[in-house]
Amino acid sequence: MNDKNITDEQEPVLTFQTEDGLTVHLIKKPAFEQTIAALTVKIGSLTTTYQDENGHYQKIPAGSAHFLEHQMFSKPDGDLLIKMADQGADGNAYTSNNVTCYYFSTVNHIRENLALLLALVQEPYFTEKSVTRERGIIEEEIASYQDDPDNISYQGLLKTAYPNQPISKDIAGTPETIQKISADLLYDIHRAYYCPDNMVLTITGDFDEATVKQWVNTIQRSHAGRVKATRQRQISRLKQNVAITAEKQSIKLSVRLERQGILYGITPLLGVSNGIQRELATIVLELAFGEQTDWYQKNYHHGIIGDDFDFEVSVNQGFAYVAFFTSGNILDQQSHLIQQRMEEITSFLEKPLEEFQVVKKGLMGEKILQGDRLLSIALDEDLALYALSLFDKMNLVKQLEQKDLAAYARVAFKQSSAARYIVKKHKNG
Amino acid sequence: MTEINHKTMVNTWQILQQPSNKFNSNALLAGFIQPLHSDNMSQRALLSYLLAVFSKKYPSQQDVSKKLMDLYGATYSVRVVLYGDQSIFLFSIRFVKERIIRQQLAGGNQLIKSVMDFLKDMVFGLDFDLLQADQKLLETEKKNLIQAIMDREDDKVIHAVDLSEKHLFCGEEFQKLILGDPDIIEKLTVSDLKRAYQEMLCCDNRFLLTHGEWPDGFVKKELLSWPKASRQSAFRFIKRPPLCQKNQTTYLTDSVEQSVVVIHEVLPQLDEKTMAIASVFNALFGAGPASFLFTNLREKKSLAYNVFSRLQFSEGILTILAECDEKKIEAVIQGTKELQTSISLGKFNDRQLNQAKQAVLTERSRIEDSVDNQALEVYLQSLCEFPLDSALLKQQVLQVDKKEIMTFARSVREHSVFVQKKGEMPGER
Repeated sequence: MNDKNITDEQEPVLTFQTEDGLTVHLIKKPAFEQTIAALTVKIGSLTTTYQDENGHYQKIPAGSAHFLEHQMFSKPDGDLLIKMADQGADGNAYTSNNVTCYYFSTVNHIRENLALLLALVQEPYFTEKSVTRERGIIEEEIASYQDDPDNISYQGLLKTAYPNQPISKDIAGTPETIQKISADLLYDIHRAYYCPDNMVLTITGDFDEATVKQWVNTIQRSHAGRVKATRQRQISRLKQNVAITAEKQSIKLSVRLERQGILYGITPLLGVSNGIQRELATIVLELAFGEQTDWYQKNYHHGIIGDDFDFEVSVNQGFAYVAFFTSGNILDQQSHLIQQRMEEITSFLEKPLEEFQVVKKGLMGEKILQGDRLLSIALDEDLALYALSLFDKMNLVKQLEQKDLAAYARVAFKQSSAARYIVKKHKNG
Repeated sequence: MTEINHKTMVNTWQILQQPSNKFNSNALLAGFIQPLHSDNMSQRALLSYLLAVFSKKYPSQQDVSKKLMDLYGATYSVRVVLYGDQSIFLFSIRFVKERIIRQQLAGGNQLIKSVMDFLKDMVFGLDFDLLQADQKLLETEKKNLIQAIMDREDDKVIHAVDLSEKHLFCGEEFQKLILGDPDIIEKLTVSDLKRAYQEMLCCDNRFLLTHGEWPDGFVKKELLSWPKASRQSAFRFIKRPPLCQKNQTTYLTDSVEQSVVVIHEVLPQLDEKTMAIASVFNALFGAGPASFLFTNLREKKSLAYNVFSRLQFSEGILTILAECDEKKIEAVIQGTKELQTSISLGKFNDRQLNQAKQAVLTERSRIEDSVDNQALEVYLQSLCEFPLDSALLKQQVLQVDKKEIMTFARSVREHSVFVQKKGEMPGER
């Protein structure tokens, strides 16, 4: 239970562990009114198996982590969200590829709400009736995504690049896969993953850190024995990076605006956390494709790319990629230009870049500005998964030199073929 | 608590300064305000796109982008905001406080002065000679704006709300879209834009808000060097837009699977006291996970995954929105009416009333913990006859009683019901 300050003096992150292995990060934000607490469980849509009580691996239907997230709020004496509301807290949750996160924001009753949050994840209560009712809600949720062309484009891109891999499955699953989810299955998955040593609690706000630390320890002791800290648990994860399938696919929809996603694989670096790799890849791409570049200016001025041009880096266990998004009526031309630029990405970083220092200055400022967003500080997956705080990221940028990025790019951006998915306009669109 | 200085007039600008040492960033909002006109909406929308990326001193988006990076990642935007019966051409900039940069990066001298110089160059420096000489500049921004309109139409919920407002407000100016009309935008010339820009500089009311740490007298001194308005009319408070007759509309489209229901209800005239009652009523009825709409229509009856209500004080409207299966439309509409009736009959307990009050207080804190939200709220509220005073509202919320909520629920009148659903023959019914 040693405390560790992992960042600078201005806005330190106080990190400790409870006796049963729950990692806790406390981030003090003076003068802020709300306190936000986020409990992150390391199970997401990429988690495809669990180990049963006999040690055998069992498959998890797509959408299970998300279904579990919905069902955790259901308790014998009612919905836990309502109890949080009684204590003045606004509760919520989400599921991503890697984690399931439960959180609340409140102005008072911090201790009571922390107790509710920790009970929420450690006291499961599922019945076939509640599972059936929740299935109806999730079916509506899945249906709402089917009307969103951006979501269709992103999902289509992942299906094209990684056919039949877990990352190509929607986080919420499909109406078919969620039919396979039962109360018993939810209990089994909960037992396998909702253990203190597989969870991280981040609390941010204006509070006395020693007091909050004491509260968390006391509350967590009250759960002793309820959930095992299964230190022998073996989580099945992909050991190797999955190569992308460089294909082009499309769909016709009734849309006004045609759009596309283009995906390139990134080669992961051994021994470097996924969080740091994502930061490095993003900076490389900012230098190559950012609005300050001659490349962007030339293509923007000629109307080839517009202000909706965007890219996103994602580094997960087994799946590391950059996805570009463009729209309009010259999708092939846009794709060709991005391809050309990707092919020269390593070579252009070898020459001194005039704008390197100004880009660094901008990125450091952006990290400081992000420090004003209480919710994103609490929900920071990099902090939960890799103990990489916002302040660490700023220090990373501060210390970076162009040669470091060039060396990184030589390894990471070796792959130059892309998967592509296009949302075309239906004749009536 | 944040202190707000009173408005003063400097060089045809009304200014309001909101000192705050809470955040890492300072914000500035500068707006040109005029009554909404149907004949210049497209011009103002396109001007906002140009003024975001282009001026005499910064003649390309690349120059603007580099400058913002040099200002430690400052964020700058220009947009047209429709508020009540007025159109606000709003420039916003947010940047790191000099004090924070000195502490964390040992730099930042004169940053605040550089930001003001940049803003002045962007607001007053649109270069029509260059626009005339290089038509690509104009064509690029036309294309960006038209694509943004098309993208908005591809978002089924936003599109449904946009269409529903055509049946809500009376008068052409209130039925047009905020981003303008693609056919008009396509035909706009440099002369059209010059006229709209000159009209804005000469005649619009000007209002500027600073938030954060600004040296005493600095803003006033800077504004004295900014060009004056030559022909301003007297400032007037915003008014509610006039409403159409009550109506019910079904819009068929082949681009959606799931239906969207938008119900608009009319609020009584509000003063400081009734704003608190309206806020608590909204929280009880439809804002948040403990509300009647969420717990009944979503959780108990599985009618809709997404269902909520929201207040728009400036328009005097309460909007209820639900995404649901076509078969559930009637049940959603009927359920909404029944829940509202239940509230008017007092079928809620003290626990639910207290949850609603807490939800309003938490929402207030969420706004006050965000520089952008707080600055924008203060800015817009300053244009109202009865501006929302956050501290007073919080006190009054605690005093709201059951009888006041029942009376208020009876005074909210249903005005229009808009349903968007799948149909092979697109159009309104």
